[in-house]
Amino acid sequence: MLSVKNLKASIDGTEILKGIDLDVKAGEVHAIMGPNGSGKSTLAQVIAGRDTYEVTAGSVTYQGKDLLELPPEQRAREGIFLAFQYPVEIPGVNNTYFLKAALNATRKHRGLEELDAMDFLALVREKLKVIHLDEDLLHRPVNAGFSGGEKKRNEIFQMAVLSPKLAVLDETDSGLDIDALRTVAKGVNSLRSKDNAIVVVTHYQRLLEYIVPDHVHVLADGRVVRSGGRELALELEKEGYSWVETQAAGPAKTRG
Amino acid sequence: MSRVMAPPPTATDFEALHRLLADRGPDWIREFRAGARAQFVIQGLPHHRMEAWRQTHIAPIAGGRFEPSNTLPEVSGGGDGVWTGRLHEAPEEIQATARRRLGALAGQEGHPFTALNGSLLNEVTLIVLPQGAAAGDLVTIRHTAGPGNSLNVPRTLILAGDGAAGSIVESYEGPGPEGGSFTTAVTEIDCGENTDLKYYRIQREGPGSFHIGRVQARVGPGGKLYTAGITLGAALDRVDAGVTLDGEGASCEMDGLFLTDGVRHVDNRTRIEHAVPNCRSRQVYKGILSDRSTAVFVGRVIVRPGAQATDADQSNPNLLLSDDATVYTRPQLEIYADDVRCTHGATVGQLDADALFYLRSRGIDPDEAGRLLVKGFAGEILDRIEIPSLRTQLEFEVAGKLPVTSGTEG
Repeated sequence: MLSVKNLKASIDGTEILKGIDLDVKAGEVHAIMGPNGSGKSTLAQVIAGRDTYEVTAGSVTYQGKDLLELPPEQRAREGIFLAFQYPVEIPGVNNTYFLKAALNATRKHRGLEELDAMDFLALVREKLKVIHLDEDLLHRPVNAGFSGGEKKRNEIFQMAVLSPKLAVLDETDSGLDIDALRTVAKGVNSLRSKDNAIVVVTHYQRLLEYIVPDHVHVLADGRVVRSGGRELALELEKEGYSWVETQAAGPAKTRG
Repeated sequence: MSRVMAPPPTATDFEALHRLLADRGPDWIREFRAGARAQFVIQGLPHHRMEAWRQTHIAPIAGGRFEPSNTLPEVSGGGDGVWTGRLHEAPEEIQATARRRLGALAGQEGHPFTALNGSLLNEVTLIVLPQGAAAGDLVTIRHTAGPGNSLNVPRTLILAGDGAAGSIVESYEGPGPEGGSFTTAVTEIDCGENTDLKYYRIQREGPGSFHIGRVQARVGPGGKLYTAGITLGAALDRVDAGVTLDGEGASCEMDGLFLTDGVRHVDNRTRIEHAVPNCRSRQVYKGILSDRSTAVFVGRVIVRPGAQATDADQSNPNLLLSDDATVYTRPQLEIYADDVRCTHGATVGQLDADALFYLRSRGIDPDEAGRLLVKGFAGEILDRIEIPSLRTQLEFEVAGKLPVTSGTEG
């Protein structure tokens, strides 16, 4: 589904990603772990199409298409969803209006009929229940005045409504208490299917107890320094990231 | 060495127009015009060497030939006991009160256009909310500028008796796209004790018109005044809006929203006077500028000696949608008391790149994302309009005026 090859990206002339390789197949859940500053979030943003990063080498192929050629809105309509690490507050823009515009843009792109207000509301109510969010949230401006936990849950709620093929969660677990973490995990797990893929970017192993990954990759200094199964996450939890940094300079031991 | 500066010559002979009216109407209105005319002769039209007019050049007004218009405002609505209409048609006791109050709030000194309005005064629209009047039907006053190069001098007097509540919408419209009208409008609002008044002023004149406005209000003890000044039209717009908080516990909230495009120019001057202790004021004026348009916001807050426990907030956020648009923003705080809380802030910015990316990452077109953000910016003001039909209408008009914005580069 997603194939990243030798991806290099920089911001303001500073190289952040120094040759990333990643292969995600439909039905898989991948976890990307690594210390702060290793490039995890940059990778997530580059996949979503953030133009503040300049891609200097490599390729990203998504469902056979050259992803880097597409503007962010096209990527979203093709089924890519990024749950932001820092969801943006947009005062004055109503959540319902925003989400309906987003959903219908994607549906139109896929040749589906746009949902009318009634059908949309029915869909939204169903998804709200899964994420345990109050319906009141629909009438508020996007993320404005939301608590940290509400913002993160709102990301997962949006994901549930837009039902992407590839979801990238950028540190969705940070700042969540254990109940919110379970709720978020439940929302993410409900998206799991043989046709979808999920990439979980996280600093800690905690979220992976609830969203069990098929593959774990460790990033350090802009490179994948180790890939493995779920046990790699547990190993990291035990040993910390300090050993990773010593490996950063060396060649990557990839899963192949 | 001092130099007496003659007022610049005007292409319209305002003096002759005043003389044409000299014999018309009852004594009191003739005296009122004569007094205003004397003030106008002393002051003349302002020019850009004067501090208050440095950023707003009125050359097109001084150089234009304007013909007096005789269009009358349409007034409707009002609840039980509310008097609305033309002053000279009011019952004698109401007329007597109104005559005494006319001109009492909107002083002419330093306001040459207020003097000009007075010197050419013809009709006065009068709204009287009697003592204790409950909020009834919305009152609407609709001024339509005459066609072509018309000269319009609308004058409105709003009197709210003690304990009265109500909402008033005053709008300025016309002429069509070809018109180059000039309007000099004055509205005075006198709110008694414990009043609760909402006043909406909408300027949606044609693209070639020149609009100079003045709003001056007084709020008595415990009274609440909310004003919204929405500027959508005219080639040149200047509005001086002042409120005096004149009794303890009085408060005012002033909202403003102005949209400019092309080479249009909008100048908003607010002046809030805290005359007594324990009053609260809040101002939020928001600007959305595109193309090569310009805007000015000067917000003055005056805290008089002894006006302790004053609480005053002012903000002027501006959104620039073009590199060629310019906004001048300046707070002016004059504080003569020591126990006060006054805040002010102005921002000038472009569309937030993070917010644009966020919307696009959800599949929304860059143009639509830009429009949503601008609508959201305006929405903070429009959402506070409590009259659903007016809010919907304004949302529609504002959306129609928004340029197709960009988030497309890169």
